[in-house]
Amino acid sequence: MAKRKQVGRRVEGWKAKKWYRVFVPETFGRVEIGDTISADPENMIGRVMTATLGEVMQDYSKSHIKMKFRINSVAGDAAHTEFVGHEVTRDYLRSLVKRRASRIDTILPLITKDGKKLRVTVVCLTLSRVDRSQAHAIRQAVAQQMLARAAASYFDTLVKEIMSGDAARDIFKIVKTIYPIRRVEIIKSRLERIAAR
Amino acid sequence: MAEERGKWGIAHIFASFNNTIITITDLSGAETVTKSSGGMVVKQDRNESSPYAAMQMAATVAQNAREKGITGVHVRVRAPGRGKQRSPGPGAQAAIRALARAGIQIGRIEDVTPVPHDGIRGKGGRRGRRV
Repeated sequence: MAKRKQVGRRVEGWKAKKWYRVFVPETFGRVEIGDTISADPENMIGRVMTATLGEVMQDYSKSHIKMKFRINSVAGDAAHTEFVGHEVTRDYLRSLVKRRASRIDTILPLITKDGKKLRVTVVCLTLSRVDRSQAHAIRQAVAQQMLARAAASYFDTLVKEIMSGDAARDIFKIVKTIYPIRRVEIIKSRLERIAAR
Repeated sequence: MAEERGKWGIAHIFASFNNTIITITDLSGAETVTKSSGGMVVKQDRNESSPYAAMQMAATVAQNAREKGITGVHVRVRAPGRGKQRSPGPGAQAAIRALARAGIQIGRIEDVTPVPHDGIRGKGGRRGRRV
């Protein structure tokens, strides 16, 4: 009996729910990225919304980057988010990878000046196949550059630099001296949750 | 619904060779708006994955979504992936087309098949499938 009651309530559920507008953090200019629906604002906290960088920046040449935002506070019908990571779309990455050339991935746990942990994946694409020693040297250079950059900057600025491609450009300049290189791309980042949460 | 401003959602289309499942959610993916699968529109099991079934499903899903105020969707196509085939089944394309025909705006279309970085041994054994 009790079960049947629940079913009845659930049918009404949709009407009881309210739409909320979701905004990106201040760093990206508080743009609205869409709506989500919920019966209770409490339920929305922790939801992850995806938007392309093209949508956020109003620049549709950059729609191959997917950014993830987690809802962390709700005020009225507006939900505010924090940046929790990004990823390049699969088809874009596959268009970059070519045969008979190396793809050198470097996965780095970064710690920013304000103590946030960000894990990034940097991909270097060379013009031709590299030896292992060269790959190691490239990886080392990438790690050095990114760790130094992270330690010197705050989380927000670091994320912005990654998104705008400045970070990748700086890596390119350094790695270029080691081996002829075609492209450097930061394909993925993820904000590590602090254990105390 | 209260507002007439167009709302966007995500259409998750899982297309295997045995079935197609369409689920429309809100943009966060946490709230399901409506869903449909092959068994809901055709009688025979072997037709569950057919393009025809996908069209029927897309039509009902589109109608339900519109009633709930969703006017456009981003599409996430998925094949079984992992150890199985990585290309979406016959229902995927038909479903997207039928959604568009039913008057739902289509935004980004993306493949979200789970691809292992190096996974398990394929099914069929050492000498392959022997029919």
